[in-house]
Amino acid sequence: MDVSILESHGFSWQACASCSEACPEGALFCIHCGAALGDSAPLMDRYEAEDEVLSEVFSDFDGDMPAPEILLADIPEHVTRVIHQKRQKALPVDGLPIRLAAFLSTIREEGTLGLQALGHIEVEPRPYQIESALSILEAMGGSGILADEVGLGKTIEAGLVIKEMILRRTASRILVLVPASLLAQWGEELTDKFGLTISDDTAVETLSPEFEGIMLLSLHRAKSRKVQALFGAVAWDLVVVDEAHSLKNHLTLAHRFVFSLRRKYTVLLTATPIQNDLRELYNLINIVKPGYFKSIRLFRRKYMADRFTPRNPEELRRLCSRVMVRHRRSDTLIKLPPREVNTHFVEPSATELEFYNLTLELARRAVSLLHVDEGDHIMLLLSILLKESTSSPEALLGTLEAAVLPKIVRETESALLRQVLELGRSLSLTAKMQWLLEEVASQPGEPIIIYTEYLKTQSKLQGLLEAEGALVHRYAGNLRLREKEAALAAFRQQGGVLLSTEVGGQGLNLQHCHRLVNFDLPWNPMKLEQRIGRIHRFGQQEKVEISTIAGKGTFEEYLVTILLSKIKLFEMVIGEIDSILAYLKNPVPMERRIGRIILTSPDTSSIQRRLDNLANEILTAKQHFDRDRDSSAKLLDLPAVAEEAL
Amino acid sequence: MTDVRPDTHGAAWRAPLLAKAKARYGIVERDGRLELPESVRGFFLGEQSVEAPAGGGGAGSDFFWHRLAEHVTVTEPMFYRASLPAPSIPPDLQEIVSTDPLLLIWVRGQFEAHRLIEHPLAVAISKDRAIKVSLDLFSDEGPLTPAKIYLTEEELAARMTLLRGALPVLMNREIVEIQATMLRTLGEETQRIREYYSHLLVKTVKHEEKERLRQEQHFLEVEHRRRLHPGALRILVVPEVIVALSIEV
Repeated sequence: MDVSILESHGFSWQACASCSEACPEGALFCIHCGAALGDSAPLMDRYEAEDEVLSEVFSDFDGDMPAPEILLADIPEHVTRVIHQKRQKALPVDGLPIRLAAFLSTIREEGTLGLQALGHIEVEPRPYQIESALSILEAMGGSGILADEVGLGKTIEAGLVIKEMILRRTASRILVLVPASLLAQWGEELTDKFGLTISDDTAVETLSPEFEGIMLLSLHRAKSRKVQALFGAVAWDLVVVDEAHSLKNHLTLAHRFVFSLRRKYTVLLTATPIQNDLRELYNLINIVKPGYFKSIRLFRRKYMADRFTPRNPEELRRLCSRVMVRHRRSDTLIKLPPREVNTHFVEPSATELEFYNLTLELARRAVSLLHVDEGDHIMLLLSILLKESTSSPEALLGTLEAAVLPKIVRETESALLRQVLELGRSLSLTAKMQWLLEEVASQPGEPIIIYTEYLKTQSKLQGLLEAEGALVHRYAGNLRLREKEAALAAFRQQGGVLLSTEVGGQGLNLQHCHRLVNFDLPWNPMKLEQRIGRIHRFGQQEKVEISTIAGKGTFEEYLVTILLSKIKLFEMVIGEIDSILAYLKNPVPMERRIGRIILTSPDTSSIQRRLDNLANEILTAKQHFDRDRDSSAKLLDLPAVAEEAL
Repeated sequence: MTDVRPDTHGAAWRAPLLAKAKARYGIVERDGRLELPESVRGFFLGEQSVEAPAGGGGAGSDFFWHRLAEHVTVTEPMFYRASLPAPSIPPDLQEIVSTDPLLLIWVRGQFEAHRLIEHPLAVAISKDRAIKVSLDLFSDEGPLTPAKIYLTEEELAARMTLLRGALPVLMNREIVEIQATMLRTLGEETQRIREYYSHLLVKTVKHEEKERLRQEQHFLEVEHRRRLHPGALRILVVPEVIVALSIEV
């Protein structure tokens, strides 16, 4: 080291006894070889005196502090090209002050963290979500439990943590474990809102210890005997587990699997960290901070009066707040206006009803011809056909004309197939379309969002509405980003109708609109909830009106009257259904279960009975969820805790 | 040594940044809201206007500041060539000026330690020295004028090598503090793990289960060392702004 550099800083210097290099006087360790310098002795003595373990840890260094790894990132190539330019123009320098101000404004205060992720995402997080991410990254050292009440956006908080760790190159091996029912939603959120690329989950079976990227898959699949060893071989930088109450029992495979993973950082998400038994809280915290409560015996002695009653609740809350971030709805100042929900049952014409019934018959015959089980992709395809038949003839015809049905079905059921196609072509205006045109015309100046799952339906509706003089903005996944932005900007500025197919992703702020129509029904209740969440969110000033249209005598009617009404989906707060469905014992996604019920039931009464059973199953899951939510609130949500956690 | 002044961090820069952005990009404040010109909207998810943010250091307005900073970063160059009249040389640079151009570089030091931490740093690099300078050097354009300064690839590489070599010195204070905290945290967490497993092992009778627990404990301790060992301290130093500076004698 050039001593003049040190002197030019005003440093006095000293030579390291170990490597003879010059070091600033006052430094505790040599900046070249890490050896202890003169002044470090008292510090070492102090550590050694602190406790035995510390001294053992410290003794590893043999008095030398290792040099850190310092990586100087390269200057971007486009900048070095400018630096090396031989033929130069004088570049303006007026941008320098603002560029410096911009850089320095992102440093919150010395030694803390500014979330760089905020500059690189497609969603605007609420301030409490930013606080949560910062708590995990700073105060909790990268590992903790995100335990906000349901519907406050824990996924956004976790997404911020993941994005930040990636931007800072802190994490390159990331494992995200979620319930099967939430896989698609997580995938969409991480991709659309955070610009992250998810690794192909078909690579799971060949996962190597050198894997780098984000692996998103269901906990159910990851813990299976077939692949769990592969996950154990990877030294994960970050493991995220959603609906982590599934890890509450330390004797289960799920708990043991996650606990045994090699991981630097762990983030758990659950709205119900405390359930009936306080031991479960101990188990969850033990995953993020092993040994945090030392041992279960000590935990029982200090914090459990009995299995269900805490001893020293104040102290327990204080300790929990060091490893757990929790916000209540009341903390977040989010007060939403009321929601008015109406279902309009329209009377299909005889031709429509026949079209729908024959499609159902065709799908059922395909099931018996192909002997498919619920996991088969053909089952999914047939479910789509059914949904399309109640969306619009155009949607179904588009699929059928593309000859997607297996050859055996097309040949064996050619007469029936031809009949469906002919009926579909003869239908130019369905009862649902007629209702929609009247609804839009009834309040001409008011902005309204109409959701459909299918592009063909969207296109048909656009033509019909425009023919009636409505101003229509189309928003769909097949548009370019710029086109999507233009559509939204025009809708905000000019009002009219926003015809949307995209449910997930994109932090759309559409609060200026308070009317929404579900033209067709997604079979996944979470998708319905996401649609509503686009307008029934922070910033909405007016009562939100949600209309759902269903054809009488179709399975859409049964879905609304039996399933959605019974579980009171439209009365739930946003996000609640996600947590409730995660409590279901059957991990098969809801869309598949509904598809199976409709396709394998011999008649209408059977469909109704089985949908009713499914509703009861969800209600039981809801009871368990409610019980756990109350238990968590009872212990964690005293004012003192909320303040501390914030 | 010129130390970093506490008031040159974060919140203190926010109000000046907004004032500069208003003047430079045509952002207009009206009734507590900022009306964003077309060029800026893309950085605010397409919004035409946003609520005027509080200037403090709380997380409440972090989103706004990071988006504005991102807009500036994308819009304004990272590299500048400038000259400075000799009488205007700031005190920070007086000891390092020479006839050769100086390279000034502002970097973000990202520490991966017992937690994530960051420290900004500004460094002036001559042909043979690298010294720490004040972060707010040239935060106002002042007497800087555009200049033509040619740095060859070799010259730039040599200065970056000098910077790389000087970083342990320039960040020594932070490194020492952070490594000491990592060491202490490692000790505490290792102790916790050992206590936890000692209780479990006492209660466990089966040999296989004992072995499994011992192995689990070993893995956990290894993982903690992977994260908390002072040798695991990793610092990523990211250049943010660069100025090639010549002095007009």
